[in-house]
Amino acid sequence: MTNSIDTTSFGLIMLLLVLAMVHSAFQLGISVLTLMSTHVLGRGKKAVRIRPMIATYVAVSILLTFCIMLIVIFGEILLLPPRSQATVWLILALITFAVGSIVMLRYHKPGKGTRLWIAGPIVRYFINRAERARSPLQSAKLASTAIITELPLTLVIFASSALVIIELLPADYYLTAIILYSLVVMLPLSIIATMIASGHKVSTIQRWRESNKYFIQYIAAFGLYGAGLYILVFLIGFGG
Amino acid sequence: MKAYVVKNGTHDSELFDPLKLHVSILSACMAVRAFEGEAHATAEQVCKHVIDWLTDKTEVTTHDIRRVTTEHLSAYHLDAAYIYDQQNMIV
Repeated sequence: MTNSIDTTSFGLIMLLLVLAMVHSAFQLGISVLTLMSTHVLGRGKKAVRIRPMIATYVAVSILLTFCIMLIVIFGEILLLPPRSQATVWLILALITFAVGSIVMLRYHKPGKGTRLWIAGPIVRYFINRAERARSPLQSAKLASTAIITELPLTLVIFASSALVIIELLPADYYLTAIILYSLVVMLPLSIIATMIASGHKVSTIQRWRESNKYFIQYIAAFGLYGAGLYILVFLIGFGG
Repeated sequence: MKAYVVKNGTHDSELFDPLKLHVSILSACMAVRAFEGEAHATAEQVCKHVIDWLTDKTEVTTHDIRRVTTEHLSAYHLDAAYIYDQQNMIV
């Protein structure tokens, strides 16, 4: 690579931003929050009682994203062999393309609603637990299950983002970077949670999600393709 | 009226329970922040329509109940009808 340090840093920052935005486009956490809110409000609870549950849901989502990122970063620092970065980037780029293709073709199910291509038993688990959620603890369990269920798709994003942070920043700034990353990733969830807690109808939110589901899906897929391409061309140096 | 409702996934059947339907419509109305009195009145009216539709039926599926309920509920409360229809299609 013959790029200057500044250009490389700028490119890495943009890559991190794209990865965070793609990560934030994944919808399972938002779907589960919407479903849980529908059931809690449907029991005639006043909005003020739903707020602790929603706040806990968002807080646990942010915390778990932070913890996973922390584990991935330190896993990469401890486990990656020295001078193996090009190989690791190549593997990550290929997996990113694969995940992008999965998201492009098989993220939202066709037809009405915002159903995702998740195994039936898991969907039934979420529906049953959301229906029975009555306390912040139960909403916390739902939030953590949603994050973990999406890990097969989001793990490559975690890994790529972690590697970018390791390359870009000195160790003193890792924690700040992880906190900012977690907040950016959970921004859409936080916005939706705030809207529900402040009195917006879940039907309005769900209608918006339904009419924009394919847009979000394709943006996420193209984001992943773009990230994979950037890694191949600028970080590994194919074609350069 | 003795119509049986066949569940979509398991194909078990049970006798139609108007109270269950009333509660689910009420829940949909409350979920979109309708007033409690309005929600109860809406649920009562929609249940009447569904019961009328069931008069000459012996067996229906949960999908049928949901379809007819959504159709009648949309005349009273569009948002509640949308949420009632979408409940199992959010995740």
